[in-house]
Amino acid sequence: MEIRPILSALMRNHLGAALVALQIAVTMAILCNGAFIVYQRIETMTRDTGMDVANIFTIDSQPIGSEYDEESATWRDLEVIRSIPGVVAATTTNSYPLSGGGWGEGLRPSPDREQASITANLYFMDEQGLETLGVELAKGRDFDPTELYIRGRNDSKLPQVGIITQALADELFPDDDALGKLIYPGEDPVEVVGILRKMQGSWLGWSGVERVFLVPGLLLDGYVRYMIRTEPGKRDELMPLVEEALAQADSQRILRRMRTLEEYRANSYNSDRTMAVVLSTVMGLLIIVTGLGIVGLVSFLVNQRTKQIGTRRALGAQRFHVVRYFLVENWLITSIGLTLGLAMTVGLNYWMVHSFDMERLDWIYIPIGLVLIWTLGIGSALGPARRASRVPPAVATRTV
Amino acid sequence: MLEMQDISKVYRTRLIETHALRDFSLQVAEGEFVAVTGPSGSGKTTFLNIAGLLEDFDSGRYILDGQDVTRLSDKKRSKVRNEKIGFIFQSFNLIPDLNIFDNVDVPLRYRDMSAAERKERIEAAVETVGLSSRIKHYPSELSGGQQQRVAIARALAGSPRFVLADEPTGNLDSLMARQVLEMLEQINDQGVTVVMVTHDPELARRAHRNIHLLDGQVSDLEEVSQLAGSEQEARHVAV
Amino acid sequence: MLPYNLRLAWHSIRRNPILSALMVAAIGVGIGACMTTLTVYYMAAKNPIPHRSDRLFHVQMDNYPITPSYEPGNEPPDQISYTEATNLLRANQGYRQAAMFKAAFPLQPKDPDIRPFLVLSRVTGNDFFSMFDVPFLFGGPWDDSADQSPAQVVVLSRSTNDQVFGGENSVGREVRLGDRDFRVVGVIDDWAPSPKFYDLTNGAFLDVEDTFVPFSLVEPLELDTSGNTNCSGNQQINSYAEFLASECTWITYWVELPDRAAQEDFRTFIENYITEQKALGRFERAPNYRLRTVGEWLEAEEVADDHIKVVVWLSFLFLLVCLLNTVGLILAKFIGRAPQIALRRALGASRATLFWQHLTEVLLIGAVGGLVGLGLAQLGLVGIRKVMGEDLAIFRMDWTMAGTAVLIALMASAVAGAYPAFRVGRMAPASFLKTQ
Repeated sequence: MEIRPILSALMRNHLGAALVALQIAVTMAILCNGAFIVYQRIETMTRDTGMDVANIFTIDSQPIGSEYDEESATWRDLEVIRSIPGVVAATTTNSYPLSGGGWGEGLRPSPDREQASITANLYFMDEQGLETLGVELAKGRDFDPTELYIRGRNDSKLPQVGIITQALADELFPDDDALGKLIYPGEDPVEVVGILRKMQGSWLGWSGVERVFLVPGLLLDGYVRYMIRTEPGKRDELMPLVEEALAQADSQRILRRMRTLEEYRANSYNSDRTMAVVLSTVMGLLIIVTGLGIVGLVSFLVNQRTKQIGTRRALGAQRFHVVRYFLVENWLITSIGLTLGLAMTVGLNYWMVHSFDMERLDWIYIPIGLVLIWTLGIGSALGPARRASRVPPAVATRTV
Repeated sequence: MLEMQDISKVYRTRLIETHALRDFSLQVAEGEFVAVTGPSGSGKTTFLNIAGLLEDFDSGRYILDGQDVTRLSDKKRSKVRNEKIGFIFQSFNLIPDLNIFDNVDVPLRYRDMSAAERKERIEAAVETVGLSSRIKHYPSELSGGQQQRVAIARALAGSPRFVLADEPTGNLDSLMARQVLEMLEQINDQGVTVVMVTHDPELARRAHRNIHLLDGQVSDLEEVSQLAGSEQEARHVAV
Repeated sequence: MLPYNLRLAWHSIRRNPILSALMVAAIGVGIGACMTTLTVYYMAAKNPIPHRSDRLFHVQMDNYPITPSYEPGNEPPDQISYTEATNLLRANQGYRQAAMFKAAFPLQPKDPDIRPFLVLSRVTGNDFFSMFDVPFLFGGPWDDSADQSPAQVVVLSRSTNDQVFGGENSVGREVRLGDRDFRVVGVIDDWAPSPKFYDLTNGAFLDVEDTFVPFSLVEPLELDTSGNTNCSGNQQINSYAEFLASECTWITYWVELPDRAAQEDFRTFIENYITEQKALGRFERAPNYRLRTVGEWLEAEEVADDHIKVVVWLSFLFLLVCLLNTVGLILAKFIGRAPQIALRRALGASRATLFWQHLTEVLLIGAVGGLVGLGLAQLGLVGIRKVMGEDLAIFRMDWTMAGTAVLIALMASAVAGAYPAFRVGRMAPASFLKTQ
C-alpha cells in the first residue's frame, strides 16, 4: 500500500483534510457521549416496573357537595367496576404509582426516634390491591378484607399490617428477613406480612423509586381514585365502559383523568424521552452532515486532481488502484480525526460529569464509535472514489 | 514493435461526427525513432491516445510488441501501459504534491515490486536524467526542463519497450528542448522504440522516420507541401 | 460596492447550485438543531416577570423539628406552614404580600346542559394580582375586606369565563364551587407566565389556575390543598384545626419589597420572628430562612435542568461540525475559482476588495442558512411538542429567539467564511494565469 506518499501528499494539502479530521473528531465526541446518554435514558425508561403496566388504567371521582358519603360510594363503585366482564381486579388507592404524585412516609426498623428514617412510597389499597397491580408476592401473604382500615379525614393512624418491596426490606433490615418484623412510621408499629419482589412507586426520578409500602385501607380525603386491571388487551375497550358504568351509578360527582398507567409512565419520562429523541435526531443529522462533508472533500480532491488521476491511469494505474488511493487517503484523514476524537470524547465526558449531573462514559462506546465512523468514512468516500476511477486515462494528454 | 491496421476512430456528439482517424495503418519496427507530425485537428492526439492504449478505437487492429491489444479489458490495458509503455507528456504531468522520488515511483507502485528494487530503479532513473541532487524537491521548485527530465526518468524507471512522447518540448525553450531531445535519442540508442508526436518539423527531422497525418490519414510529405502551397494561394485569392 | 458584491455572490451561488445548497443545508441544519434546543432552554430559564423580578421575594423558613437526618444549613422547605402564613400576613411587613396554595373544586354551572367539571383554584390574597401584574379583562381583584373577613368571591380566568358565561362580562354573577355560591368580582385576561414562577413546587410548566378565591376562606371552608404538603417528624393530626396548627408546610409565600431598605427591614423582621417563635417552643432548628428573587428562585429550583443544558451543548457542538463542514466546502469552492480570482487581481482588485467580495457571498449563504434553520427549528419544536405530548408555551419560539437564530447564523458564517475569504486575497495572481 502506498500510505507514505499518500500521507506526504496529504500534508501538502492539509487545510481541507484538517477541517474534515476536526469534524470527525467532534463527531466522534458527540456520537459516543450522545449514544451513551440516549442508551441510559432508554434503559431507565424500560426498567421493570414490577406491575402489569399494559393492562392497568385509572379513574378519579370527585364528589360534588359536602353531604357525599364517600365510603359507601367507593364500595359501590368498586362493585360496579368489578362486575364488568373483562375486569380482572380493581382497587381504591390514595395515589397512582408512576404518576409523579404520591405520599412519602418515613419508616424506621425500631421505635428509636434517634434513628434516621427511610422514606418509602405509601399506598392505601384494598384487598384487591396486589392483584390489580399485578405485582409478585415473593414472601408472606396478601391482605385480608378484615384488615381494611378506614382512615377518616381527621385521622393520622395507619393500619397494623403492611406489605413492603424487597428493595425497602433490604434498606430497613439489611441483615435480616423483614417478614414478620415490625416497622415504625411513627409511634405505632406496622407488621410486615408480605414482601413484593419488585414494584416502582410514584416518583420515577427518585433513587428510592422501588421503596414501596402498601397498607390495607381506604383514605377518605374528599377525592376517590380507582385502579383497574383488565384482561390482557382489553384495556382500551373497557375504559369507556367503566366510565359509563360509573357515570350511571352516580351523577353527584365528576369523573376525570381516566388514564392508562402507561400514560402516567410516559408523562413521568417526558424529559428523558425528549432528551433521547432530540439527541438521536441530532446524532442522525450529524452522521448525515459528516458523511456529506466527507463526500464533499473527496469530490473536491477528485475534481482538483482530474489531471493527476488521468496521468496515474496513463502510467498504468488500474481503476481499483485509483479507488484504493482515495479510500486510503480518506482512511488516513478519518484515523487522524478519530485519534483526536478519542481525546475529545473523553474530555467532553469528563466535562459533562463535572459540570452536569452525568455519568462516566462506558468504554464500550469508544470502539463502537471508531468502527461506525470508519465505516461512515469509507462509505462516504466510496462514491467519489469510484467516480475518480472513471476519469479516462486520455485526460493525461489533454493540454488544458 | 507497433502495428496498426486500418484503425478508425469517430467522435460523435449529438450534432456532428468527427472522423479522427480513418483506416489508419502504421508499422514501427523495434528500435525505431518515429516522429508523427501534422497540423491541429489532423488526428495526432487521437493517434497518441490509441497508440498509448489510453483510448478505444472503433475498428481495425492494433498489435503491440507481438501482443494483440485491440480488445483488452481496462485492467489488462492498464498493465500493458504500465509495463511496456513509457509516457512523456507535453505538460509534464508531474504530481505537484509529490517530490521527485515519489513522482518517479508512481508507475512502479502499480507493479509487484519490492521497495528495494523500486528505490534502486528510481535512483538510477533520476541519475540518468542528472537530477540526483534534487530528488527530494517538489515539481514547483524545478524549472520546466528539469520537470520534463523528471518525467523522462519516470518513463524510464519502468524499463519500457516503447516510449511515447507527446510534444515533449512544447512547453520548453530551445536550449532545454535540445537537452530533452538528446535524452530521447540516448534512450533510443539503448534499443527502446520511440514514437514522438509533434507539430515542430525541425524536431521531427531528427527522427529516423516521419509520418505526416492529415485528416486522420497518413499522407506523403510531398502531397503535404503541395496542399500547404495551394492553401496559401487560396488565401491570397480570398484577400 | 455592496450591490456589486451581492450580485457577484448571487451569480456564484447560482453557478454551483449543489455546492451552495450543501452549504445552506449544513448551516441550516446546524442552526435548526441549536435553535430548537436553545429555545427549550431559554423558555425554561427565562425570567417570566423580568421588570419586577428583583422586588418579588419568595419566603422560606425552616420550622421543622430536629430529625436524625437534619444537617444545619440545609435548604429550608419550599413552602411554609399555615401558622407562619397567617402570622406574616398579619404582621404586614412587606409592601405587598400573598400566601397561596392550590385547591380543586367541582364547578356546577347554572346551565344544566353543561356538566359539572373540576376547576383548579389558587387560594390567595388580593395582593397576588397587583404583585404579579395580572391583567384584568372585567372587574378586578376582590377588596381588602374579603381578605380580612371571609367572603365567597371569585376571580375567573378568561377561559373559565368563556366556558361558563360564554365570554360575557360576568362580574356580579354567581358560580357554584363545591356546594357554595361565589360572586364573580373579576375576570383576568390571558396570562400565562412560563415558567409558572409563583408555584414552582407544584410544576414549573403547568397552566395558571382557572379560578382565584380569598385565602381568608381557608378556615371557614376547611379548604384542602391539592398541591404539595410536607410534614416532617411525626405529628398526630386528628382534625382540620390540628392540621392548620401543625408544622406541615404547604403554603407558598411571596412578598414585594421595593427597595434595599425594605429588604433589610424584612430580613430583620424574619430574624426577630424566628427568635420569637423559638421562645414559644417552635423552630427547633438553627434559624434558617431564605428570601429569593424570582430569578434566584428559578435557579434554585433548577427549572432549566441539566438535561436541557447537556442537549444544548451537544447541539452547539453539532453546529460546530456543520460549520467545519461549511468552511471546507467554501474553501473548496474558492480554491476552485483561483484562476478567476487571479484574473481579478491582475485587473487591479485589491486584497480587501476580494476579501469583501467573498465574505459577502459567505454571509449571503449564512443568511439563507439562518432562515432555513429558523424553519427547521419550528419543525423541531413541533416535533418536541409531539414527543412531549403536551402543547406548552415553553416550546414556542419568540421574536428574540428568531432574531438570535439569524444572528448566530450570520456570525457563524462570518467565522466560517473569514479564513477562506482571507486566503482568496493571499493567492498569488501570477501562478494561476499561466497555462497549466
